[in-house]
Amino acid sequence: MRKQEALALAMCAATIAFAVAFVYPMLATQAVAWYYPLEHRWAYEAKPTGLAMDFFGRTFQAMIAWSLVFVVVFALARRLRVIHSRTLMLFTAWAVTITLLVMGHFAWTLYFRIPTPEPLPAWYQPR
Amino acid sequence: MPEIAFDGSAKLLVVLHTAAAIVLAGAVTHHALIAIGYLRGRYKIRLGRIYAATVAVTYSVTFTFGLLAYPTFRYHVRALYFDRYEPWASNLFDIKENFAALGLPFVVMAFVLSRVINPKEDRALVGTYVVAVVLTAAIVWFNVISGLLVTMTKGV
Repeated sequence: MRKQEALALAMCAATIAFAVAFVYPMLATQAVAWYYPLEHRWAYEAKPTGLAMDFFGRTFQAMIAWSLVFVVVFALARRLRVIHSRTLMLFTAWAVTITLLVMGHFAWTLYFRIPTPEPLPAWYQPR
Repeated sequence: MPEIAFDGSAKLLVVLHTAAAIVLAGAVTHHALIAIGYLRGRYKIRLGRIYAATVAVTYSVTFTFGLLAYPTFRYHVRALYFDRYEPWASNLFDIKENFAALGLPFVVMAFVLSRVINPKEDRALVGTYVVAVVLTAAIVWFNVISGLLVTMTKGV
């Protein structure tokens, strides 16, 4: 398979892995790196115990998944002699569909979310 | 008042985040028009590569500045204000940040393919390339408008 086709195939597969790894901690009880901005610390856990952010951890996990799948699929694809153009379009369609599904999941769940506000500290004055 | 990472420079970070996003919005729009042109037989390959590189750099810069300002936003804006008074802005911001992360693979894909494909010959790859560019443009424009709405409501 030509290098550009192998690259495209590997990146489509890696995109699917990225989207799945990014959303998976939201769907299942999976530990991920949480950052506690008030305590300046990181914790690897499934549920946070205070004001914490999982965005960094989920993004990092998705980048790792992207990298691993890219390396494996690219190496395998280079060994194949040919790839049908329809297969390439199929992988593209899967990558886009899964990403759009994950985006739809975030849009749907976050649109209806009712956030729980933090208690106001004594020093707080709204600007 | 609690100390938060990059709290003192949060306003500067958001200004830089916005400046990079302005360049990004222009570059990604031009890139999308050039990529769609490949489907119609108009090949501006050199310009397409320049815009792909510009998008890759500005997307990364915008994303990084956003990440650095995020802890301040998360506490001072979202936790203390948005979650109590403007929950829609909290939710819109979280949708925007998740969309931005999901756009990363498509930015890489568009950049790499812009360097390796010949749109006159690699017709199957042009489809993948155009999809990556157009989806990136859609995410960028959604995020630009969302970011404006959120910061108009309350900034860092």
